[in-house]
Amino acid sequence: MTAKTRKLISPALRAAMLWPHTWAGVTLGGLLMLIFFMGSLAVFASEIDRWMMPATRVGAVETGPASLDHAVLPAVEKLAAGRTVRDWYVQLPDERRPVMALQLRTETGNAGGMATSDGQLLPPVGTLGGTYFFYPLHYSLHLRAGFIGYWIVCFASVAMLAGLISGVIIHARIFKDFFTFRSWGQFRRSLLDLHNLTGVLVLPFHLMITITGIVIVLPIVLPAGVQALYGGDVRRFYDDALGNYSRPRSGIAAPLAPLDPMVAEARRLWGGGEPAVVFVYNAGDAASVVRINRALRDRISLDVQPVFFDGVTGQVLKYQRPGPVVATHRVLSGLHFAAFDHWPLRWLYLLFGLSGCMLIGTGMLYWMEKRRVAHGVKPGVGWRSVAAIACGSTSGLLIATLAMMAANRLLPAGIPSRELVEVGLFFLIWIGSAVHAAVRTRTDPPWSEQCTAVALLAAACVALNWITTGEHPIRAVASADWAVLGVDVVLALTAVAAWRVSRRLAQRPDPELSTLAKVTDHA
Amino acid sequence: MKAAGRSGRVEGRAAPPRLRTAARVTAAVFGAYGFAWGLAAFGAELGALAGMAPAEAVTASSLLALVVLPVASLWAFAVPRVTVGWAVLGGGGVLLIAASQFAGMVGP
Repeated sequence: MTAKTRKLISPALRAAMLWPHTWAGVTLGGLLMLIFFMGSLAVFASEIDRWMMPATRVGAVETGPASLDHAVLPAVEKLAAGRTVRDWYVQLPDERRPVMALQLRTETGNAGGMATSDGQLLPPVGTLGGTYFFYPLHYSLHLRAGFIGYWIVCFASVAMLAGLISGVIIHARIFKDFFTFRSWGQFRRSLLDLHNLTGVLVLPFHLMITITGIVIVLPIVLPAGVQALYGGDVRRFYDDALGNYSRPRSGIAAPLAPLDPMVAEARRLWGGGEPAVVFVYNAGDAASVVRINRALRDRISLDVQPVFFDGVTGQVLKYQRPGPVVATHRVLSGLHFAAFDHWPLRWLYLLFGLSGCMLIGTGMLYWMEKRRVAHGVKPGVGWRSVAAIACGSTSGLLIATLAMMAANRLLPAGIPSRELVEVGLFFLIWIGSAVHAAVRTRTDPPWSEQCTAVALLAAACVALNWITTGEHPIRAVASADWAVLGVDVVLALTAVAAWRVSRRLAQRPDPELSTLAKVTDHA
Repeated sequence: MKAAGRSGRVEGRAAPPRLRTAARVTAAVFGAYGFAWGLAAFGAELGALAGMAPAEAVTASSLLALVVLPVASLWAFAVPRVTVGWAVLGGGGVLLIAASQFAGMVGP
């Protein structure tokens, strides 16, 4: 560190950064924990889907369906069940999802389903799983109306960015910290060390993942430029930037041209690559449009290179490559998405994402311990609220997630709106664990009790998967079902770790002995 | 609360600390966002005037504004006088938006 940077970060600046760093963390820590945890799960959303949707464990597929016209169109017709289909799309099978996912918009509502790669419709999966529950919870909190969820998540993300920057300024001794972890001595010290260590070591990832997360939805949460040059019409901006295309229905009926030649033409335009999603807009209409997206697994960029065809003639309507700045935007977005095919990086994304949870969690714990010194062992309402939020957003969130996965294996297949029952259970149990945390917080939140619950639920999930699907780890290895095996192994590790933590915490002496007796540092 | 107390001594004003804290937080949230908005709008207009494709200009200026946003937000806490913070962020935002409107009228 040079003398110049020392002067740049004056003691006054460091002192001024402490307040926003502290209070952004205390007020938004719980929300950020949810965002980071669900984002970490979303890295393996497909694998969680296989675990939660046993009917889709049909073994790996080498390539997509040989013929869209033969495999997909009959499945669409079956799902429509006689209703007029307006638009539909199919996500084609890939290495991680061996089934097709179909979504239809008909005149009387939506329909959806999964089918094997040769077009056999599977029974309803009865769950939203990782892709449709955990993942949207990460970026939109399932608050879709008016993009309100995007706004809340992006607000918290800007606060996270500000927290990272102010944290670096407060800290300003980055290199020493590579070697500082004082696990002996005081609990509060080691909490701060752990907070600093995670903050410093994983800082590049945390900065990257937070800023690219906002970048993806930037035209929605900062629409100033769209307002200036596109009159506020985000759709027109996207048409222009990403090469999208749309046109209204004509009202004249016309049959759909064969899809297979369109896929071949898209492949030719891409110069290789695989189709990932096929959309048919204005189905059965003279103005129908077919859109084919490219699979993302062979590059970082989130550029899906959409090719638009006239649905009746099969001619290419639009294939536009983005300009350099938009292409940069797609690469930044792709860094966040991590849709590329790279298993070691996927595990790193999971671990680094969880390290973000650790950063946020240790920050909240450090605040709690320091306040305890200031206010004594009889905590006030404010302290207890933060304690309850900290507990509810860490162990409570784990309990809710694991309870939902256990419910997924326990609820009978036939009950109506099964997926909504699962979601309801998730939120009820989450609220329940937060209330439990609030009620049981005396000198400490009920960490030990909640960790025991996490351990038991995680172990129960492994057992329930075995009992209800017959898929135990040895069989999963034998049939090379790495997705289910991976989820089971992570669940088992969670159970062991949570159990050990709960035992350790149960034996921990009361805080007046462990911390208050040693008020020696700069509290 | 340390920072609020410190700036209170520096300013030596009669404004109660709660009000001053509120002024800082709103400057950091709304002032900084207004400033970023102005930057993104003005940058987009400027890029379009310079001959960039509209989608490119919008994306470039928004990315720039996103980098400025958290820094502007923290600066609202670092600046000794909160009134200066509000003047620069709020006033700057209004000026930039006005400039972008003007550029929009002048431009093709």
